Amino acid sequence: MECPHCGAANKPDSLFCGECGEFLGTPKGITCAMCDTPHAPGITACTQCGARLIPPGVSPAELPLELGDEAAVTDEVEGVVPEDAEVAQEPGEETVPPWLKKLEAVPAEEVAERGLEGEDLERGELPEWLEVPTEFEDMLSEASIAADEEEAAPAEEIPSWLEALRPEELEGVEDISAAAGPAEATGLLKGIRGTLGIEPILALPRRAVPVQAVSPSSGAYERAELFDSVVREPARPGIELAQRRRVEKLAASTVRWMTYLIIAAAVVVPLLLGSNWSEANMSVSAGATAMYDTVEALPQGALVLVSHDYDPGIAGEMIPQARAVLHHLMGRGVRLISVSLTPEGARLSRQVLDEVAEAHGYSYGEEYLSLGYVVAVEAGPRSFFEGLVTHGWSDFVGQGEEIALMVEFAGAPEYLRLWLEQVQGPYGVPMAAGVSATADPFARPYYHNEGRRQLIGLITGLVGAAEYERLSGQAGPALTAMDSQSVVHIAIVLLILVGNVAYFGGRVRGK
Amino acid sequence: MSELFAVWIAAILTLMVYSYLFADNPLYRLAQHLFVGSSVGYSAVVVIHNVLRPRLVEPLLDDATGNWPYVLPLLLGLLLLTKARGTTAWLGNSSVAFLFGVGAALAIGGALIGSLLPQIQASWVSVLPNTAGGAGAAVNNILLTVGTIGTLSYFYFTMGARKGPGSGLLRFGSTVGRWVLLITFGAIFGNRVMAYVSLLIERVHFLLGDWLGLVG
Amino acid sequence: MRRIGRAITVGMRRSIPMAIAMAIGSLMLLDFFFDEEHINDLGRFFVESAVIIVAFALLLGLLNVMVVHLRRIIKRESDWFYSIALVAMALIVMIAGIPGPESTAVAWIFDHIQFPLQAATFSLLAFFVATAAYRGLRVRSLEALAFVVTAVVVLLGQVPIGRYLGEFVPAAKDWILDVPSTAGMRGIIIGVALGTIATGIRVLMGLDRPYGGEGNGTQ
Repeated sequence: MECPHCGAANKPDSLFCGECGEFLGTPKGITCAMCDTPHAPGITACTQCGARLIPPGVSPAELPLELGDEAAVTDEVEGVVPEDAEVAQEPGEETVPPWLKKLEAVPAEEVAERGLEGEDLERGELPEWLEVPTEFEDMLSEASIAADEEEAAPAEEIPSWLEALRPEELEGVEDISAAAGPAEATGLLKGIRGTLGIEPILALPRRAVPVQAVSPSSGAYERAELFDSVVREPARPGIELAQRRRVEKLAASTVRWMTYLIIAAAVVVPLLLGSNWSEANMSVSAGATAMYDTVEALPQGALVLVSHDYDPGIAGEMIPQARAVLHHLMGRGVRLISVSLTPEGARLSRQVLDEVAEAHGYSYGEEYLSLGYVVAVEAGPRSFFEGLVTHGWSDFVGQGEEIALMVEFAGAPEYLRLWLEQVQGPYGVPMAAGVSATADPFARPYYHNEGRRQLIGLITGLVGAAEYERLSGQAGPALTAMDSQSVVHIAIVLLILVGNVAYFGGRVRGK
Repeated sequence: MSELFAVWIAAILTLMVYSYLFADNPLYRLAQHLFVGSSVGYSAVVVIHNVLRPRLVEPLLDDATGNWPYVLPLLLGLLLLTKARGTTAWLGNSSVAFLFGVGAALAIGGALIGSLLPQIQASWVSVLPNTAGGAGAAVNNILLTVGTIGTLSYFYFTMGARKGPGSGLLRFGSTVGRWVLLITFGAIFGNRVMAYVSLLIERVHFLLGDWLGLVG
Repeated sequence: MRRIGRAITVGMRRSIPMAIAMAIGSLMLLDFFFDEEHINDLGRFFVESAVIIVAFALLLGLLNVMVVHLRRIIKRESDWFYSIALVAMALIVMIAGIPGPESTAVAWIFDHIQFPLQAATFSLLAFFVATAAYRGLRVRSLEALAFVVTAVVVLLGQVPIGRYLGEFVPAAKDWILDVPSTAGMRGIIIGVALGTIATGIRVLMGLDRPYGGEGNGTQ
């Protein structure tokens, strides 16, 4: 073939001119961004690797977001390279012993903020290290982005109010960049809230997962660059494409609405019918039984410490748990002292306490006490507990009095970790926990510890609350909700199946 | 009457948030700003009344000579507030350094005693059927230990340790770890879905029950 | 002469925080691991002080939110009228909270404004996660298969209806959560603990100065 630049003759299929080094490609056709195979115009998928071909002059934002997995990987390569470079540039301390150098904390990966608000809320709710890592998140968010892209807020919207939306205890998340970065050129709170601990937590697994995706083949960087240049191309959609896009958008919003309706119906219908199928069929987990037996074994008048570490966002799970367990505790006639690592927990727990106390004839100040809020950093639980055991608390807790059990209601793993590390471990207090379902996988290693029994009992989410209600024979809101919970779970599983059938159906038809 | 009014307010605010399902809209924005405002105000009130008043102000006012050491946190706390202005921010560094000093020590101790040692001990389980309580339990114990070690070697592997002695074993371990982590993340995802569904049920129960009175 | 003076102040600004972090940290470590009355008393006081300073830090953070929104109102930046709602709401709660967080006005606002707003916001995630389940959880690879199967088993096994499908469903859920998921999480917990200890040691040795020890005064 002839080089369009210098006219030299080249072998057919040559990618570059042997004379002048110019790219031969196909001038009017499309080159695959993934594998560099040139194609004639009008072809929509690469014949070599199956990637979607993006016509020149079209921004990928105009295309349905269904890039191949490889695209995600190459995209990630780009994100990781500068980060590694930064690590290398980190001002090396001359005197760092090599063994410490090895342990050097690595700056937390800056994950590109997505314009999707749901995504961000999700992120605000859990410490980031428990988030589904980016490689899976790509899989998950790809779709939601496609679904919601038209309604995504402009990027500059996010910092102000979504940032503020984040509960305080998560402000540590921001600290990471400050802690790891070279200087404190960051905002007001940088480097304060996280007082350590959180930082490596966020840094370690976060980094670990994306790096694994980087086993770039030799050509990956070029491809990534090409991909990037395609991505940056300004939008000039053709008429035909705009039409196709409108159809696809309509289809996407239809699917979205169907999904919303299915979920809403799955919640509403069982509640309206008042069906109580689950109540009779509720099985009880070993963790819930263990927790129940522990409470059952408490002697009357024993001192029990309860920490209510949740806020209204997660109260739908936590309050039914607290109610069920408090009923049982007060039924045993123990003395309760309660505290909270969230400002909101103080108010929420007081409401539940007062309500349950009334049913059991408990009086405030004599049989139960609420000490309000303690800050959620390492020093918080520690200072609270040290104060309690060394000085006691007025007439309620005698000096040096033993705490028979600590019950922790954790809306997030971080709170559970704080109590386990600062109180349970050092002081050996027996501890049981009710956790939000989001924190369940984190809690299990502490529960399954035969030698140490770090957690004696464990209940999980609204289901755990229902199990406890079942055990104590007091049907409550959690058991009533189990039918809805079951139906929604079935609906979501069906959605996953249907989504896959549609996907593979589309693939088969495409071929 | 006032109770009815309150329920209506709560229901309207809930619906304002749900309007986001249609599209991002002014009602939703307003709701979010109200929420953040209320949250900021409430947190400030709680921090002042539950932490600063009983722990700092009252000791100093009641018995200033006996509690003179509390001048230290007062001073450091006030210095911290200088961080609100860029030019004076360096004054607050000492306060932050104090927090990091205390925090680092507590974090080291806590991680060691509360997580690292007990969790290593927990991996040290019986793999013999007669002591573990059956063949199934023994197999599970082996899987637990292998999975934990695999996960750790996966982290180690991805931190850049690709060469050196025993790299073949490490590579195998990290493959095991990768699959174990995939399952872990699958479990985390499933549990998160469960949590979100529970939260939705709570709200729907409020709307149908407390507001519309359709559910008891 | 002035330059020397400035060099000294810059040096002080750098070294004083570092000295504080190292000294306090080492003492706290001794307190954590040894039983000596005086050190324990001092340690307890430092922990107590840290709680108080963190409270100041929280207030600073809240103040920051207010300042950001006030600035937005003054400069008439986009959406400044929402910021009025935010600032007004915060001020109302703060003024109502002067007697304490238990005051009826604060309690009313918390129960009927903040609670429904926050609860509703988080419950929205159920809808988003359902859309993601339909459009995102596609079995494109063996890895995705492992992920999706685990999620489905956990979803079905956690609820009572799982038993209806067969006793093996909750059993499989229990096995997944108790064996592979626990193993993976335990690995993560151990890794994180090691990272925490390493970083903590670096801070106490002054190798990491997250508190801005290198500051030259102007940030």
